Amino acid sequence: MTFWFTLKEGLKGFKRARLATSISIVSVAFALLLLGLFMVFTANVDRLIGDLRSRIELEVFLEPVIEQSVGMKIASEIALMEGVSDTRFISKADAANRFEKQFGRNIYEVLDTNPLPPSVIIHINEGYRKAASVREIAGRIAAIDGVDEVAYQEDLLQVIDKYIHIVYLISGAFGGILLVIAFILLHNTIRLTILARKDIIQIMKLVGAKEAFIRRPFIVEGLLQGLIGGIIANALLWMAVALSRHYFFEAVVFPYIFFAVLVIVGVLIGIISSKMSVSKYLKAVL
Amino acid sequence: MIEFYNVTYGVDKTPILNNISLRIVKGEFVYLAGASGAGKSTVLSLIYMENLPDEGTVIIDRYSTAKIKQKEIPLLRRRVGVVFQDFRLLMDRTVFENVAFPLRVIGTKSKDIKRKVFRVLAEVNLSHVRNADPAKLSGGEKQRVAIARAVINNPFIVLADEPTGNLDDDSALEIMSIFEKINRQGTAVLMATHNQSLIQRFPHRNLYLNKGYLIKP
Repeated sequence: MTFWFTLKEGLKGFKRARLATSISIVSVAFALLLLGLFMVFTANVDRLIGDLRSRIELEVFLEPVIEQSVGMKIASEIALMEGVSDTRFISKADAANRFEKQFGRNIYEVLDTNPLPPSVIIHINEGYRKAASVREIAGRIAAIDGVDEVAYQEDLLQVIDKYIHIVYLISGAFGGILLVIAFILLHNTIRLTILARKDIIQIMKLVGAKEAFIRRPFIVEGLLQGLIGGIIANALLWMAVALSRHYFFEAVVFPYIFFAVLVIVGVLIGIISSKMSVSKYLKAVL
Repeated sequence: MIEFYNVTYGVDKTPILNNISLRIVKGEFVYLAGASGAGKSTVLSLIYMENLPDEGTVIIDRYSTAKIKQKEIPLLRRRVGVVFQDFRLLMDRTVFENVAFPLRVIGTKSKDIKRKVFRVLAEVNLSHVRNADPAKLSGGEKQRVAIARAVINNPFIVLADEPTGNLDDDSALEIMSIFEKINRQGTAVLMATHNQSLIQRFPHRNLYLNKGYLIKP
């Protein structure tokens, strides 16, 4: 009985304060859309950085006089190292071919002999693509007999490591600010819908309704406002992503979990802010 | 039973009631008379505990302002019916829903709500408008809806704050007869009014307030 009364009252509240409720839903949808856009932006920045890191490869130059079989053995040894994803052995002949592809001239046309050393191209596992880890792997490889030099873009890794924390910090702060904005927007509009119906609260108190009973329909309303706001925000966000993919950048990343995140955030904000608003008002009237 | 023991109440250091002591027994009909601003509404608000006294104690049934907990106030209010001059109806609900509201609040079953509301509406002669919008009713009818809502939970007392203040003479007489009827059924009535002709026409014990002092206890 009480449950159905609560649910019915919550739904009726929608009809009774149509304007305030509509404003509230639009506000939360707008705030959640901003949050969603920011989440998509952050996800894409994250993927971009991941891409950059995945392109990091180490080129291990072996001593020029080394036998091909020994070189291949070194490549196999490196492949078994912790943090190494895969290795590819480049023989002296392969190196000459690469030179020709890169510079358009056969090495033997330029020089009498092939001075290019054999090498091993190394890719690093995802969890080890940081400057310190790569430096440590490079150190271990350099200690192997027959290895002449280990080359990689250490500067790029250091720059990424240095600035990624700042990017995540700014992202976190911005996301937090957007959450606060979403909360304030919904809180204020829900407060208005409650103030618009202060009469019913007063009468409920007058006839002996307990505070929890008075609060429940408003919480149902807040929940519904957050839910609908979240669904609208999702629809708008999906449109924005589709437009971006069509007109700007086809590979925009959009994890579908964001749909659930926005709806859950909307519902939580709706419940918390309606509970806070009505509790505050209930305290004001004895 | 209602008892006031040396009750003083004020707002922002302005005294509204000064050292009031009074007693209303079960089933009694009492007027609380006095000019506007004398403190009549404040006395009523202390009974349904919208306000609590600054000094002294108010005892309502088994509840005392000295001991009552916040969560017990709703339970007290279910034992006290209140009727206001401005009706305080829920204008977005039908007459039936307004009267049913106190029952819904305490979780009464739909079948019982229907039975009780129909009975009370018949007692105040409003059965024919049970599905009407309160805004379309006359002042007298609105006040009868408010009375029906006040008595639906069988309170031991009905507090009426100038219930005829917004009504013409005929409607006022009709409302008074309803209060008389409620009182004959055993419910105490405490009516705040400054309408001397009604007091004379329907004589009962009269408490007179003047500038926050009780003149005739």
